[in-house]
Amino acid sequence: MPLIETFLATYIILTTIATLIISLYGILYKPHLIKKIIALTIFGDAGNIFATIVGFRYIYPVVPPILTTENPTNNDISMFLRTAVDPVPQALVLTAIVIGMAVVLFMVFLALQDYRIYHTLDTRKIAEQRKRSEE
Amino acid sequence: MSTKTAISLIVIIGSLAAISYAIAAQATGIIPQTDLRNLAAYYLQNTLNAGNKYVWAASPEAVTAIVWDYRGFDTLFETSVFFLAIIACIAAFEVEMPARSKREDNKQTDLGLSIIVKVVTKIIGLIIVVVSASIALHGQLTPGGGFQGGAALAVLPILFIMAMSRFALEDRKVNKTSMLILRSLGLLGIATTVVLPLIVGLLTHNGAYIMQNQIKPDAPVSLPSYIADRMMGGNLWMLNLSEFLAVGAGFTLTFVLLSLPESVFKKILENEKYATH
Repeated sequence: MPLIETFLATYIILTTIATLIISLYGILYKPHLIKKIIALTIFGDAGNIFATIVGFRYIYPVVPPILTTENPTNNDISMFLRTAVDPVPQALVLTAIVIGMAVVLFMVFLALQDYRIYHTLDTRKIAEQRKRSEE
Repeated sequence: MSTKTAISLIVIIGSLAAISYAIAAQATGIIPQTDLRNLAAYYLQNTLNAGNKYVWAASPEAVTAIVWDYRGFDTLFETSVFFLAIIACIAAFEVEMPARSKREDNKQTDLGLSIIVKVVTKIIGLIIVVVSASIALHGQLTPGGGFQGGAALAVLPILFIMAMSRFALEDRKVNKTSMLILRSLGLLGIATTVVLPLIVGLLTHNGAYIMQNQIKPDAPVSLPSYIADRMMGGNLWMLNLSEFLAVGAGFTLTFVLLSLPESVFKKILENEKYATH
């Protein structure tokens, strides 16, 4: 691989890892529940992007994993194998996106319920109120 | 530094080290790869290989073939995760839906944005329905499928709530009950498609596998892979259509619940003792 492309591939992988780590920081350190949920969605999306990068192939020409002939011959299939990208990470990502969205919606519902009861989404204030109501 | 901060720091540094080490040791292979992995090569080789009908999926779209045929059980259980998440949302918002007549006035035109936005929203709404149905129903031929089609359809209720208020949805019979029925129909469709080969195999005294798509050496039961010269991919189109209904209606249901006015919940909380204020 030429030097500039090695650099670009490394750069993309490093930025994805950096996004993962920064979103992990957001999940752990931000006290606001909505900020935690936003960080969690970024975490999931960075993971999905990383999976898609793993499935990519550095070749030319490169095509999506879809046969375009209706009755492919053996020749078509071997050409397809030479040019198509890896379909397995794509299959994993496509379900992960929708399921992730449903789980995030559930967390939003819980946060909304918290807001109705405590009138705040700051975890420190919620803990304070809980301690006060227990006493 | 408190214990909590220290543990968080260890988690962050630990995951950074783990991810970096995994990539540097090529646990994911060389990135970007130039050759296919063996598993991917197997799927691409066999997805529309009519020469070996015991392992083909009768679909030119390798991703859909993996999602619903080769790795069908993964997707089945992902669907159950989706089902549980939506059910949990409904359980958290278990309230009596306010009746339509409880509004202060009956002037529909007062609500929502201007007439231009409303008309444009209606036009776009029609396009969204057509496009998402096309995405879902052509899942076995082109990129797309039930998940993507359903997620595209779920944009529609948000647009309608933004432009015309939630009453516009209720006037079109989009409410909690109807969406629950649609979603259950979708899930029932998936369940039926999964056990259909077993029932057919039992009736015809043949071997059959659960969630079987194309014929196998000891199980000659399958749905037609071509209907009127159109490639249907066996049961792939049924699963895609059912998943489209389940995902689209499930998300619409949660958006309808989220658009409930806060006054409904205030009234409920006032009557319950766990309200601290």
